Amino acid sequence: MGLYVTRPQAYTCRIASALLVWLALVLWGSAIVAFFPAFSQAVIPGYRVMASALAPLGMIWAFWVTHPGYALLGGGGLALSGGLVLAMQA
Amino acid sequence: MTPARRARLAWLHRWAGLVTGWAAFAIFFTGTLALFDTELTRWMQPETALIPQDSQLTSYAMDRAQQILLENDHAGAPPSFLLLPEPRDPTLRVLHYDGHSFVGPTLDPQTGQTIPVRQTEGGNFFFHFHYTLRIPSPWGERLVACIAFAFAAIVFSGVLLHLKRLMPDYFTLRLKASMARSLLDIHVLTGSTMLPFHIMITWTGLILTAENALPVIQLDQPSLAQADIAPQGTPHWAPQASLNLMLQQTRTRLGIAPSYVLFDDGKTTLSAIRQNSLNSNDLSATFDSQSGEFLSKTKDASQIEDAFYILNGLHLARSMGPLLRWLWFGGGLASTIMVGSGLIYYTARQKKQPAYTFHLAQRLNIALIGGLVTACLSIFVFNRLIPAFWAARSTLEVTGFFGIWAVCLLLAMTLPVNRSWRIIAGTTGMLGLAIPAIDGCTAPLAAWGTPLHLSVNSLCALTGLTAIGSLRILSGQARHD
Repeated sequence: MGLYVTRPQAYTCRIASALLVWLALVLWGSAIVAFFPAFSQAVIPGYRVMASALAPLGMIWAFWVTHPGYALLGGGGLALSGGLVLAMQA
Repeated sequence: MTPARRARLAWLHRWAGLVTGWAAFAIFFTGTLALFDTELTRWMQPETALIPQDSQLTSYAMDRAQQILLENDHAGAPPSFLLLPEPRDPTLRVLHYDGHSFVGPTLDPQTGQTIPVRQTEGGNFFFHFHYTLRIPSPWGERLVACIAFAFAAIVFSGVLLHLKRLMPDYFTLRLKASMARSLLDIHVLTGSTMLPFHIMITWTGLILTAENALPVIQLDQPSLAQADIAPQGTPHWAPQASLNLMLQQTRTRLGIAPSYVLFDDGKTTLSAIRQNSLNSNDLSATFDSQSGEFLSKTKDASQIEDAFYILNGLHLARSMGPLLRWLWFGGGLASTIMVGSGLIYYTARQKKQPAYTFHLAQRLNIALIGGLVTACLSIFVFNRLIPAFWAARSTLEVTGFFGIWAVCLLLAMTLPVNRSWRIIAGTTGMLGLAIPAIDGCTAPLAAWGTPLHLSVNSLCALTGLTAIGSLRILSGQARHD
């Protein structure tokens, strides 16, 4: 049983990763909306429907990956790339 | 799934459930009640029982409503709107938002005479609580959005944890086992049998709250100076042109009778809810308020927009028929029981290794689960006991609701656990059983025996009996332990 005990820092990393995944969805979604300004009436609901479906999967993924560092790296990478794409649209 | 991964998911399920569970319980419970918000408003205004269910709107009543709108406009009141008679509520209502709730006169749709109804938030209180927790805007909506996202992760982790035993769990309910085992069985059974409903209602709830949780960041927003140039809004909003003519034209152009009328920016918009449909995109016809000239009607929505409206409609359940609405009510109850049993299970399984969090969770369970049910029943009792024509009775009902809930919290925090539970469950039982009697004594004769009053009174009595039954279970468990 002791094998399955995880240190609190590991859970902190995973919670941070889950929040970064959520941030990544917001940034990528905003970037996609900015890419199709003429169709924003259809793209915004589409982004929200897709992001609402993906958000729980992303949050669970942060607790699914074996190493907390991978979770943090993955969430951080997705958020950073989303931020960069959004900045390029501006 | 490896044991380590399972342990991580169980940790997420347990702690996310504990942190957001009490709010989730309140959201699910009030959301389930809000499915019948219009009916609850009518129960809480028994004076409307005098209006026959199939009343037709007459031109005389519409003229009277227009006269009230013009008077309100001249008095400088904020814009009002009209709720036209429909099967769920056959009255004609002229409402405006007073900063807390929708208030205004209720008219007889045939004669146009004002019905002297008691002022109450009615079922709208539960609807408003469901998506704001009565926290000022926009913080309430944002908090509910965060809880919805956490709840989606809890549901998904719960599915993964129980996936292997999903089919056996359908047929497992050991009510005579220990309390922890019984609660786990109830939690898993309500979770697995109604799983499609839980997924649907959570996902559609996420979409509805997405505006707060999934904002669209725009880096090239207009400056404040530009935003200030926006028009200030017209001083007069009430229509000068005949509403009756607009109503007739709308019926012809849309093919169905409109359900409500809005007044904004010199325009009058008559909208029709698509009854017995899942699509929440209402059909509308817009007219010039001064000349009565037809301006436009709703354009056909694209497939993506229609999908979005259907997802909204699945959650709002505004245009559903009675059968589907009752099915949603059952699903909402199952979700509420799933959350409640999960919260109580947390404390029941830790009885042998008590800790500070255990004691706090146990007391909060009593205050926030039991207390909420007691407070909801008490609002119905206050509705009947506060004199019908007191000016501030609507506020008093809401104050009474939170007052009773606060007393439950105080009792749970100060008295021994078993004693506080006995008092709260006993009070819930008494309130639930008293409501049909109080309704019988205070409602007009015309309301007696109507399906609406029979259903609400029966459900209140059933809640009371369940609360009294829980006292017996508690005594049995005490002997078992």
